[in-house]
Amino acid sequence: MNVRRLAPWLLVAAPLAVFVALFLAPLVNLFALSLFRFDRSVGVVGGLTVENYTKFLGDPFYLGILWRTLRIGVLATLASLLLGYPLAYHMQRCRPRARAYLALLVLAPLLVSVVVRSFGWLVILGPNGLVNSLLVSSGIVRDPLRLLYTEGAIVVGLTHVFLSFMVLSIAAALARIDPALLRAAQNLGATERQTFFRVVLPLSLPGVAAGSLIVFTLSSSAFITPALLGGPRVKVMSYLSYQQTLLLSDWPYGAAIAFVLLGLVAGAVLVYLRVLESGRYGVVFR
Amino acid sequence: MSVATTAAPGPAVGGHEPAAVPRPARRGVTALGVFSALVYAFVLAPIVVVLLSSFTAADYTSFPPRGLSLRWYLEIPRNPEFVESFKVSVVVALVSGALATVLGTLAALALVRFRFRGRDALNTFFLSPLMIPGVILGIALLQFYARAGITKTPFSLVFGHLVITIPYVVRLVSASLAGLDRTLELAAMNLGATPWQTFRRVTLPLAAPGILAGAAFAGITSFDDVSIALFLASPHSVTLPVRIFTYIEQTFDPLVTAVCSVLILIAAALVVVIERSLGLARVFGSDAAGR
Amino acid sequence: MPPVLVELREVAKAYEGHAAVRGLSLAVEAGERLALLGPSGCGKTTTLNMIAGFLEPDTGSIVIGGRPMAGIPPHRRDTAMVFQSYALFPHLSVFDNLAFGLRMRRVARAEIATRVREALELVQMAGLERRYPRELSGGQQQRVALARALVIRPGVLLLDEPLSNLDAKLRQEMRLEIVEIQRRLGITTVFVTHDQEEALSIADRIAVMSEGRIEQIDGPIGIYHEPRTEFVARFIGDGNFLPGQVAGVEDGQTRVDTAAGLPVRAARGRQRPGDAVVAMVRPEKTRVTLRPERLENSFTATVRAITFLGPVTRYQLLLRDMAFAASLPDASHLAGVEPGATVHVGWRAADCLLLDPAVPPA
Repeated sequence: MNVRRLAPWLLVAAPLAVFVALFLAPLVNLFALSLFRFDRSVGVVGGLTVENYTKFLGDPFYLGILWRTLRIGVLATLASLLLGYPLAYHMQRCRPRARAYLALLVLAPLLVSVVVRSFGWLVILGPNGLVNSLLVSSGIVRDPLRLLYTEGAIVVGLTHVFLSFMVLSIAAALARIDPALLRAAQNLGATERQTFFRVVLPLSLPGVAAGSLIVFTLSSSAFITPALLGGPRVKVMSYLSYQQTLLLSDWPYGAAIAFVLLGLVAGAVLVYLRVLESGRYGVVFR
Repeated sequence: MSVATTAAPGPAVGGHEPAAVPRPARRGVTALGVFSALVYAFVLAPIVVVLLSSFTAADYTSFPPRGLSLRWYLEIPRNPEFVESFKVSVVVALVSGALATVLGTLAALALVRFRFRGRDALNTFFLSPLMIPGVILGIALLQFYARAGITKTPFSLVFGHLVITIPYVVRLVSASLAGLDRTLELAAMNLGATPWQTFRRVTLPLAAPGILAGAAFAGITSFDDVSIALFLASPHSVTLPVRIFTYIEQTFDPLVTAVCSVLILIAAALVVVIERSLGLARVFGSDAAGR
Repeated sequence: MPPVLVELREVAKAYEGHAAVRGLSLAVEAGERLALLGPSGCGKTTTLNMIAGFLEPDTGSIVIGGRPMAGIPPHRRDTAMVFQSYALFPHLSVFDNLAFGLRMRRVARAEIATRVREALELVQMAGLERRYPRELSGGQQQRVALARALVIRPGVLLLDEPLSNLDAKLRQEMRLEIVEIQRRLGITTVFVTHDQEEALSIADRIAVMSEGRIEQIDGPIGIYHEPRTEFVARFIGDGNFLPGQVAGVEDGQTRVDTAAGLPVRAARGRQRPGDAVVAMVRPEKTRVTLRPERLENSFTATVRAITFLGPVTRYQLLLRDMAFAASLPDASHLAGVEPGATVHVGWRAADCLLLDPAVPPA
């Protein structure tokens, strides 16, 4: 084997070793663990079984949490799309300098820790928070509403945390559209509205799809925001897994829950890839 | 007197052809503009609210804040666990950021500069942690460490963070290497530079913005991480976001708003530094969209 | 004389303080092919975009078919453009690209199908309806773009550097085809190009533009043989430029004392004695001989280089220390002449034009 053939492997050796030791091995180990049994008095017991998975999939309580996670992920994705598309479109129509500042405004929050940003929503939605202060002082309600620890609060928080990704993804797709296409549409008789619906929107769909995938996978697997805004009362999959492992020490079951969640994420990726390859607008993605 | 060939020297003014994107003929307030302004308000709301409520004089967090004082900022030094955690976070971020930059750059070089069997698979492998929920990685690492008998130290945290930071470096450095004009390297070699000299004097300087962006992204990702740190932190090495998280889970008195505000101000300073040096859109825009 | 279809009156447009078009007036006759020719930045594309309605003039007016265009958005103008990049919608098939404009005009389905088919036949692209733009070659894309513009039967066809993305051979072929299609349809056509050969081969009339103004507008032959300004002469074809001053006018000829001290006889011009002028002679209008010939202008020169170019042989000469070019279709009488040799160069007064200097002397 000559140097040229060996060189790439020499370069990747160290990072590859790190990944095998700290990424692949722990995941394989966790998966193996999910096939073990747990006994409250003895601890983890050997012997392969799919018991943990059947327990999860057969229990309406746990399935309810799975559906909730899915629901929250879908709602946060839709909300990001509804808020993010107009924002990205507006940004793209601004002059380059204004666009740079607006992009900064969208990007800057990414530098603030998710904990801090979710905490901000605690303050806004809390009993003494902004929303309740406004509602009470304007006389709409007499007593503060319970806004925290609800699915709605989680959706709001997740939408906020991941909106930037949706905006960036759509803005990138919009920026890739050749401006001559818009002129061509107008030149052929399309109004501004028709140009948007027949040219801009279809051509921005790859950005919408990519942004939706990002927001859905991140928000359905998010942990911090649901833990803070939903708490133990409104559990999602990631919280459930955390609770089972770290708080209740039922590692095999917690591991199984983690892999069900992983399956959900993988499912979303597969759906995305299907959309990418087929469908009416498949040609846009190629 | 001269012989003109084809084109006469035209006016030296370029770039004044019509602007690319047709912009709305009417400026001023539009429904789209108003909607966008509201969304920007939504984006900034929690950050602004935390900042403002940290100046409260009351014993509980509220918005709008009751009274105006700096008492909760003065309270921070009396809670050494926050200060201690901040130090831990900085050290972990710096060490894992530096390691990730070196390892990720090595991987990117191999992936971009060589064609070899398994290259595509390796590429996917190096980016795959981005698709794995952080909690799952945290649980997996914690269990793995326990099984391997590795005790929790700040280093276990650093190693954990490598998995979530290397992908960003690989991605950003790959992008910057791929965009690099290969003929520049050929020119250097043609002028007598050895492969190492070429790398050192041509490739590395040209890829530097991508590498720096990768380093910045890696450091910030490590600093802000909670999902993994929550599982890997030992009682003596709790990172600041984890400290805040566990604190908020119990109570959210104004002390934590003050701590969060300090983090926001640090982030604001970072925004300015990164924007001035690399361009924020370059660091986040290129990569975050594809996350 | 055919009626005027498109008229620009004193149109001006500036971007951020830089004047792109300054007080331009132009009348395009119905059915003609008019080229806007000029170097990049001369305002030709801006002019085209104002006709299409993508840009509004700052001052002046545009009238198409007797209708003032002020405030009329692009989609309500009777123009169709072929873009430099073709601007074919990547998400639509060839058929849907062609049908786009018809659908915007609410044309009935059955008619759309017929007209799209006819348009594709016109550009010899029948049978490719279901392809997508990315699946077509550059030349095919060009044809589809042309068909897409023609299918809506516009009053004015606008072409923005339509052939610049094609290779040389395909370009020549498409020039012919565009002319043929235009003749068949009789459609008024305005096209923008920076390629003089393209303008000469396609256009009925050429408007040579410089710095936002029209320098000269004329047929290809007029533009080439009777350029009025130094700019036009330099932009179209090659030339030897001899700046000087009119010394006198006699016998239908003009005597010019060139700055280099050569007494040159030129064709009768508008200029009066004392005026600053540039005398210009095209390289192919010169004679190079071993002995002096009986021509109104005849000088000795030194050969600097000889280049065989196929159809012509080009002689780079030194005429009183100045570079001078001569192109000879037949150089057999100069066999044996090497660089350094002394020869005689001459030209007829009638072939020597007097031009206004591009930059007035200070």
